[in-house]
Amino acid sequence: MATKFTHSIKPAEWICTGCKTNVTNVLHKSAVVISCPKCFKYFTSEQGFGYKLKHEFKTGFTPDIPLHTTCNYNGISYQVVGFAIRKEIGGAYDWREYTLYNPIDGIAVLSEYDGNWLFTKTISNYPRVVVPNDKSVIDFEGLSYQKFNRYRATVKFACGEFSYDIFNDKQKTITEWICPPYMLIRERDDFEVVWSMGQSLSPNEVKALFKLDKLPEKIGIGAAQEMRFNVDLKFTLITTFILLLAMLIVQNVGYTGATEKKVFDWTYKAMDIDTTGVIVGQQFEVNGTGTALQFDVYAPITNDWFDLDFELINETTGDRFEGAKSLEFYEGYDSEGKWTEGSKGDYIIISSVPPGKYHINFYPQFNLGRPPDASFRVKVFQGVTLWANFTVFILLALVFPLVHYFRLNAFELRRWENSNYSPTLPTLHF
Amino acid sequence: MTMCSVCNFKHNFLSDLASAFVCPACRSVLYKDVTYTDNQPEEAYRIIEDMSLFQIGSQLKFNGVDYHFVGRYQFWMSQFLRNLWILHATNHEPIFVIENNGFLAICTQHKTSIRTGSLSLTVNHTNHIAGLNAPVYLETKFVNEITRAEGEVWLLNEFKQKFNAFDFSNNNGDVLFGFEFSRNPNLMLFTGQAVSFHDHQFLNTRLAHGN
Repeated sequence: MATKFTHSIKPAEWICTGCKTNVTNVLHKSAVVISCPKCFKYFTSEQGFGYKLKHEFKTGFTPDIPLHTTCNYNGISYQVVGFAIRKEIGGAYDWREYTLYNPIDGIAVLSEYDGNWLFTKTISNYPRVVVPNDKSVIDFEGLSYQKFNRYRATVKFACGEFSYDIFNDKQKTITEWICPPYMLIRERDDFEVVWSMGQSLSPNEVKALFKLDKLPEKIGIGAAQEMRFNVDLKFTLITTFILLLAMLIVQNVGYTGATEKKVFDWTYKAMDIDTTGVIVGQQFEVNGTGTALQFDVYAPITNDWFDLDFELINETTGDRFEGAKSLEFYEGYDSEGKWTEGSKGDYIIISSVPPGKYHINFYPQFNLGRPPDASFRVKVFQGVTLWANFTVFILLALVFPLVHYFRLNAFELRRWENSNYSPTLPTLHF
Repeated sequence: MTMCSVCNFKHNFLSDLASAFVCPACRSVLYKDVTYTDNQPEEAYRIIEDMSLFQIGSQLKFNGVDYHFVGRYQFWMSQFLRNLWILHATNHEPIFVIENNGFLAICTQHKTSIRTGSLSLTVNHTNHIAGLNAPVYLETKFVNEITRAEGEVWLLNEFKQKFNAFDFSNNNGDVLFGFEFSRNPNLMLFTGQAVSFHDHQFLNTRLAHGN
């Protein structure tokens, strides 16, 4: 942290020639403007030969941050020496500017519009952007800044001290480019071009800086306000794409490389059902470390139905997994020709079956009018790929980027409401 | 030794560059190696009490050399009050410190140039200036009428009339500050770098430690 300094030249008292009020003069003769906070008269320096009345404001305004309040921003101690309300020429809205002073770092400006705050400081290293080839996007120090606004401003009210004549700023064209939370500002006229860098501050940060309890209510989105919990959209989309690609590869490798094999294939007839309604299937073995089993059930039915309940029983642990499948198959002819409905075969998957020796207890139900040779066939495969899970994963993986995209869009649309250079959607610069 | 004919203030010139000295007591301008018989020497405009960090007698240790602040010009640059400090070190070329509303630059070079033809300069554009190899970007141009001075200075005669002042920068990060006078030398350029006060060892400044 920088060592704290104060200027050895203490503030002077300047007597307002309008109302004879003693006005604190922190900047001494470096103040080009002194505006009396009591009678609202605006005096400008005559190149060091005293001050001359230039304007008189009809109405006074009380700044939310009182004059001569101090704050410490990034290790630099600033004092509020001036307050101004400025207005876009030809525009309907105004904003407030607090001039901050530090003996070493000079002047900084804290501006507020609808409760949205921006700390601004002039910079000596800046992008070389010349008129008329103004760019809508400026690349500066690794960041891309988008043109946000271009206007000229006038003064509605001022009190305190200023190191320049803010009334003269009417001649200046102000252009703003944003890369939240930063804003590049160029003020230009025929004699001077000045670049500043601004950084958005939240109302809570400003309250903490000045130890204030109350500030104007925040409305809308600030020009350089950063979205809370923001993640770079480009990064999000690339990450999601890589994740989906990786999952697809893993799933595909799993599908083609897994030891999917048939471990059970038996056909039973209705006559195999014992008196308790059960057919006890043959023993088979499930290998691996836990797998999904697919049960293919087939019954050669026509205009009939077949229900099968079953229990998969681990012969060592006694663990049971239940399953059921109903089959219906109907066919016939009508005026449009042959029709069919239903299926003679279907499958059911039971996931996470531990390895071990198993058998299946079948509880088949046939139509009472079944043919005497009614039968059904059951095949069991282990190591099957669960595409349903993969689909769910894809949907879940897309939830965040989609929600983020629409949230970002809504946020950016609100931000650009106050701009004449509004893009319709967030732009990705690959 | 030069002595003020008005108030008898005695001064030993330190800087080889300086040709004049502004008497701190009566503001009389005393020229080097001139014996005054006139009791009414010209007066310099009094320095405005600004918020400068420095004063005559401040020091800067720069590139291992101890420089002393021996004089300054003060004038308006656009809307801001600017100080151009002259720093002297024995057996070294002078250097200059530009001070402007929190902006500081140390200029190690100064050179004069004769303007040929019209010097058409446009703010916010790159401009070509004779004697400079690369185009420079013009930030500020300002017509000044009043230059205030204190301590050891030179070019006082040139400053008595209107002059143009310019701020340039180039793509190497150099800052260039120029005067354009109506008579020789037409153009005087100071070249240097923007610096942070905290990165340099300034002594005997007008700052005090505090809260």
